[in-house]
Amino acid sequence: MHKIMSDRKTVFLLMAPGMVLFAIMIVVPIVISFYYSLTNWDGVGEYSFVGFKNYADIFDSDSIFGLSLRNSLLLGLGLVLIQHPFAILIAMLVQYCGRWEKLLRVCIFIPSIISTFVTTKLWVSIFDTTFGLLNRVLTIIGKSDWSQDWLGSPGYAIGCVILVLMWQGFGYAFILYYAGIKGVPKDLQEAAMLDGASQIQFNFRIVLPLLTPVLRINMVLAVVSAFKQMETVYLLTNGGPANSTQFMSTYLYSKAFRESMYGYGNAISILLVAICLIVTVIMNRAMKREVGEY
Amino acid sequence: MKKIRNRMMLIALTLALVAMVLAACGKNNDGKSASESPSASASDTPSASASDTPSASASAEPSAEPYTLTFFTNNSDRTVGQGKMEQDLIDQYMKENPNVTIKVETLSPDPQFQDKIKVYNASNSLPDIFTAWGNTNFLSPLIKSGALAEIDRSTLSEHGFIDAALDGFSSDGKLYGLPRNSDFFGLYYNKKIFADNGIEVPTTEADLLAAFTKLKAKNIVPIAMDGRDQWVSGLWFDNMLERASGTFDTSKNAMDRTGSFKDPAVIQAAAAMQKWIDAGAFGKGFLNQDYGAARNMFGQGKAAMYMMGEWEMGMAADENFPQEIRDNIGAFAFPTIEGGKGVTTDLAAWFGGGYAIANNSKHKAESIAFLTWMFKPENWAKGVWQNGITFPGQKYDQFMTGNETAVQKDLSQMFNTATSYSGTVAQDKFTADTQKTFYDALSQLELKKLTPEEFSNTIDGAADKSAKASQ
Repeated sequence: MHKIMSDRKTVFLLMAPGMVLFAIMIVVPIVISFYYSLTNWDGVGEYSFVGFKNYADIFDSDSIFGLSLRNSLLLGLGLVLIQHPFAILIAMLVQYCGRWEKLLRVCIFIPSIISTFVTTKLWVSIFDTTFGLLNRVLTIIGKSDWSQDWLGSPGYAIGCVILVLMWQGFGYAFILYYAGIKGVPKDLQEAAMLDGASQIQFNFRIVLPLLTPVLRINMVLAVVSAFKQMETVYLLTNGGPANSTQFMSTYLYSKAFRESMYGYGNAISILLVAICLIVTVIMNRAMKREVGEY
Repeated sequence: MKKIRNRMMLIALTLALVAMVLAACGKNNDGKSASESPSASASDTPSASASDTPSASASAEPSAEPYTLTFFTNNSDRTVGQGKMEQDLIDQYMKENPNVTIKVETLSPDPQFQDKIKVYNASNSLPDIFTAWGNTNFLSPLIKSGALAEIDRSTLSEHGFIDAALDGFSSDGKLYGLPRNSDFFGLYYNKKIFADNGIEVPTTEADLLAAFTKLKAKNIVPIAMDGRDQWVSGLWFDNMLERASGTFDTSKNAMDRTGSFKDPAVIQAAAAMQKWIDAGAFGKGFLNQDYGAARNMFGQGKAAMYMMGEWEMGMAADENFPQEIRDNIGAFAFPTIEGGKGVTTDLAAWFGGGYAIANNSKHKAESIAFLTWMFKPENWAKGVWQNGITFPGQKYDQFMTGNETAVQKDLSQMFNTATSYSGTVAQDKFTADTQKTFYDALSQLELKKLTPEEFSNTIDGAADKSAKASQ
């Protein structure tokens, strides 16, 4: 076995199918995208090279790009600082629910298996100003002056979008932490109990550190998904009102397909890839800490 | 050179893919379309094999030799509406002229259709006859690249076309297409809600604002508005601008840069729009309300009025809506606005859809002959009107039967008594990216993030950029 693996030719042959697939599906499109990002192509007609003009325009004069980047960061922070701590807490609590544990586990995961389209449209009708559930409930409990045009006013819309996204992604975050917690061996718990640890101490001093590998991968996934976010935003507000909920992916879609600026859209998509890569590297570095075996 | 070859490859691949998908779709149909579809029947006729004879194009007169025309349309459903009308006329033409075969290809929705036209044009294989629009951002690139055949306007004197409708398809005095319908904008209203609240059909802004107050007190949304698709707001702005300045030329001149959107009338119109919103014209939350939601709100009686084009006259026959509401739909023209010079008989009407012919078609003369026949008043105009499909771009009053629905009559009245027509609306004259700027400015105006003055500067900048880009 060792002999085979040290033979470079064999290693190359074994890896070739995977690498070819990777190249065709990922590397080549990125390279082509980069090529077009240097042009002023409108998607149909002739085009010419404009060098890095698209990139210069993005950084010089495109305030909406800045806004969409800010929104993506805001979403990333929301996921990391609110959604994930909450998911960990719930995953820990579900352990103590006895015979309800299985039911709760299923219920929490349900939003993740329903089509995004359906759950998003559900939220659109909840937020509806005139006939929506939220404003109705506010009126019924006598707080009608709290009712708002949730998705139609820039200030609230971005908050609502982030809330919906946190809700939609909650199931996955939860199930990963839950699996991690389930993987903690029982004897650790018994040992802790014998040493007189409370349940709270056990969970936060022993389980939480052991979750670090899960935490690390989850954080990276959360931040990358925040940058890639497209369909929910598209269906909820389509970047509106007045671009206030524009995210990077929705913005690049709008540039390329609504405004026929394919070159410009490609430049944004290259920046998106670059940002995702940089963030992943930084986060992996920052969270690189050896965890003890168990 | 390599670049071009690569692009051709890409286009070819895309087309192959589209063809595969379409073929797969065809197989899944219940067999009915396969046996009855015109393209299938075309291959059964003996004429199909002779379709490539180049001799036909040489003569100006349609020849008696068998030939095949390709007809590419955005009306995918061939059993209702305009699609059925097209198909019926095509079938009739093939029956009357046994040597002619017309192959139909369809694709919808419109953005995809337009994309495919661009691909066809890039690969120099445009169909003989195809759906076209008078919008600058669609038609002028095709005209510029010489892709469209010129049609002799003098041969159409018997057809009763509205001049403005033909102008929409003209450039430098040459005609490049025939318009199939007239679109115009107005307000639908629910007669019962109006009567219950003692509201008369408003003809001035003051009447309308008074109606808003009455309706709001009853918790009825005054006007159902699709605020999410900014083209509706764009049409609204066109109307308001005309009502302020008294002429559609303000917008027209601003777009061709003989005038400017920094006109005081623009500011007046924008201020009036904000005034309507402040008065609660559209209820709360209209900016995230889409087309279907707004239409439904009116159709279910939750809103008293609905701001939309004539193409929604079919609401009176939509069985998803309660009978009581369907029987009570009427329509009226935009009221005048305070201090404005416009009158209610100035109508924002444009002539969007129609057909054009490829310049390098092998059967150019034959294609023109067919289109000329198709648009004889007793063919297209009579058919679409009497079947309640749409308003033709031609005179149709000789085909009135008296059985029209109330809303059809109201709209007809609006259309026929109009003293001026707008022609192509402002938003359709922008290039794709400046159109987005225009739309964004509109929603910011509606959100009060722009003052009327800032709005007028922003859209003037967009118009300037657009004019420079399309030079």
